[in-house]
Amino acid sequence: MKKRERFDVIKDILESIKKNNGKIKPTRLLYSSNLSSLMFKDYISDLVKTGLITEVSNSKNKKHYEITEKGNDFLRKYSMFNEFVSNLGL
Amino acid sequence: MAIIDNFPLIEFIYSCLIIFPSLLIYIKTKKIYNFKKHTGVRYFSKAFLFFAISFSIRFIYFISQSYSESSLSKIILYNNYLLILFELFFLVPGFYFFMSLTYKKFGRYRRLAWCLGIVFLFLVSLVDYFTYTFLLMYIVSIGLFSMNSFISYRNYQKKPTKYGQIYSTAMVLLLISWILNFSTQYILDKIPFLRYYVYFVNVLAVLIMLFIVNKILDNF
Repeated sequence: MKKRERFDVIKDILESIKKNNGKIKPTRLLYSSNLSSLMFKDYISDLVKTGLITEVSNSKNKKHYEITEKGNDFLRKYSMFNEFVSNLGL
Repeated sequence: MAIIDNFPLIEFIYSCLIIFPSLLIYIKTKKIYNFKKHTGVRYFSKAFLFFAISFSIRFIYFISQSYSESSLSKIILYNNYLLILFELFFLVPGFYFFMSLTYKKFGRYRRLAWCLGIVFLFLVSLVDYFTYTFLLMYIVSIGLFSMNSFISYRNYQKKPTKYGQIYSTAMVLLLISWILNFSTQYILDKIPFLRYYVYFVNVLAVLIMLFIVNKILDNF
């Protein structure tokens, strides 16, 4: 299997959250992201820092992740970028 | 005087119709290059930057020949070695298109391939300069755009996409423009207005490219 680039991993994580109505539990996200838990933590911390996702805790102190407007914008741009590259064979 | 006889005006309009769309394409594609540092996009983007630069130089050169009394024109006309740079800038866009379509094939030797390519183009410019012709420039450019047309069409056949065919058509138009350009210089120099067909084909190709970029990258 081809190794995913960091950029593609971020896209996969954001897409997983988006497909799940914009919010997802950490264990489910870890499972769908296909990453080791160490890598997963690294990616999630980066995504939170850059504002692509937010970490939300409920009253029972259970947390989940939500995609932000910036995250949605990233996915929109990623899709345009892919369309551009595949149309022009770059 | 009919507009068609007003050569400086036609040159000005033609240059604007190439330079501004090329700069727009460069700016738009630079944005997506900054989004994900993609090598193919970088080559594609720079091809249009050099397109704009080469046509700007061409226009300045034309003006300097038309108004040979100005100080700028004296600098250009009496420093003929600038012709080497002039020719190099004309060769580079075709090479950058070629690199954007083939860089994956070079793998880790990509940078070496780029360096060798630029050195080759420089040598071509030098040889033309010392032989007082543009012959090699035409041959190399026709060769490059033949390959670009073939590769982009083959890409489209392998993976048909909405704009892939239009893109390969634009490449073919650029090839036709170089062939016509060559013809006006060496074969069909007696046919009036052939030069304007070259202008038309070139502008059409650049506008098609701008259309593709605008359609795909709308609101990027």
